[in-house]
Amino acid sequence: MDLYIKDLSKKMKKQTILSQLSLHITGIYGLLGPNGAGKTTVMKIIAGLSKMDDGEVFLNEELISRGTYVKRVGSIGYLPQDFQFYPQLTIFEVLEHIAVLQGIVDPSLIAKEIDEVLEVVNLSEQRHKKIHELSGGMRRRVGIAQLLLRKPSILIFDEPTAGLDIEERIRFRNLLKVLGGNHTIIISSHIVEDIEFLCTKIGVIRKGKKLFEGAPDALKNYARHKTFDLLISKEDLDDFILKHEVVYLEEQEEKIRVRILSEEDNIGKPVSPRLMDGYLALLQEDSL
Amino acid sequence: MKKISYLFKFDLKLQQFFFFLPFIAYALAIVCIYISPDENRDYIFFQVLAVSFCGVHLLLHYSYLFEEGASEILLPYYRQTAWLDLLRYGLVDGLCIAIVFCFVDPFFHTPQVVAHTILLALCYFLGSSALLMIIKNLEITISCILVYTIMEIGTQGSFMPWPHIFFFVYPYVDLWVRLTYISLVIGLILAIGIISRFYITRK
Repeated sequence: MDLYIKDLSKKMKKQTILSQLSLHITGIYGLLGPNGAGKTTVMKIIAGLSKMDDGEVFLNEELISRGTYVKRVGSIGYLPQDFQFYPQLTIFEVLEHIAVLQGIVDPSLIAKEIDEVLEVVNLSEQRHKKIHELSGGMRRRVGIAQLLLRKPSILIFDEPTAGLDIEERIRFRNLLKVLGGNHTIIISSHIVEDIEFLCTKIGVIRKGKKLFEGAPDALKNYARHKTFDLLISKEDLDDFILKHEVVYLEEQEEKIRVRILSEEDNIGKPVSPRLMDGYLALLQEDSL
Repeated sequence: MKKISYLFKFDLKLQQFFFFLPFIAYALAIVCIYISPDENRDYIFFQVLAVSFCGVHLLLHYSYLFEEGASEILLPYYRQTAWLDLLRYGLVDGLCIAIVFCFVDPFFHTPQVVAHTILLALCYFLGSSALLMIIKNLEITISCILVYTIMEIGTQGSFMPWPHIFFFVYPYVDLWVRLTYISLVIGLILAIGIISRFYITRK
């Protein structure tokens, strides 16, 4: 399913949060932008949790917003960054409750549906653990399980891997990749590496305006001819960092390999840019 | 029916002892009314011990929305069952209030008192949840309701000219009585507005 956002605008306390923002969301869509860009606001508006001042939202060709709200949110599931719900209940009890609210009252059908979603999020073994006993990553997977019970076609994740340890982050990332096979997914993240791994399309917003929308390779192109690799001595590193935009560094035997973004030619060996380089180059270009 | 019965069981599982708190208060109201030698006090016991507890179930039900970050997860589900929740607790608490009212001296069974009971019960039923939706904290909300209720009882509705909502001295005929009705109607309208706005805009 494709989601179209057309001319979305929102002001809060006379401050513009979103300005005539139009996006075409499809596949696994990564929403990037600096803090305060309006990413969470966009996602909450799509999920029907926040109001817009102006604009329209379409699911495929169908208008799903009415007035200042997205109304038909049955097929849209939103998972916030930090959440806690029913901490004293077990995973199974929470999911059972949500299944009943979805209109499933037959206990065997409820158990079957819960089994299926727990299998997907790999929590079958922990079904009788209480929510407050779960780690951050497990709690997020319960969050996904409850969303899947609603059978949404669009899943929205706000900073899904923030604060997770490496192992849990990788597991969560892989889960999102699997879910992307049969859902449209919107992910906002500061971790560009996750976006690079997951997303088939990227939107970059800043101060509520769209800076870029397209394939990851197209974003990387912003840093083409601006990304350089060079080896510097360890003693020069501090001085070098102060003078250049170092995106990545890797310690080698006696030297340090750094990747920088630079407008200067022949400062080092030109290399293929990564998504992070393209994103930073785009932000720099916009700041000029 | 299956869904309603399940929802009650779920609330019981979540709220545990607190689920029974209003029922204990209703029972206590009946006991106080029954053993009180002064039938003039029946309506006071009824208002304080029964009516003022009729919003507790709904208040506890909504309180889970205001745990850290829970509202964005739970709101879609609460929206789905909003009418059902109001209806099921409206019926349960309304029925209990009606039963307790039967124990109040028949002297009070007048249209004027019945109208006051209905308005007061609705005010507590919806007003407490509306207050929670503004304050977003169960403990502070309960404290506000308790302080207001206790101050009203302690001063028999005579402390400061703020909106008074209880009846203390029968016959209830003077200007203050009319103001009490006006206060209740205004409170009720505000509560309905706040709850509707919360469900639409989550503010």
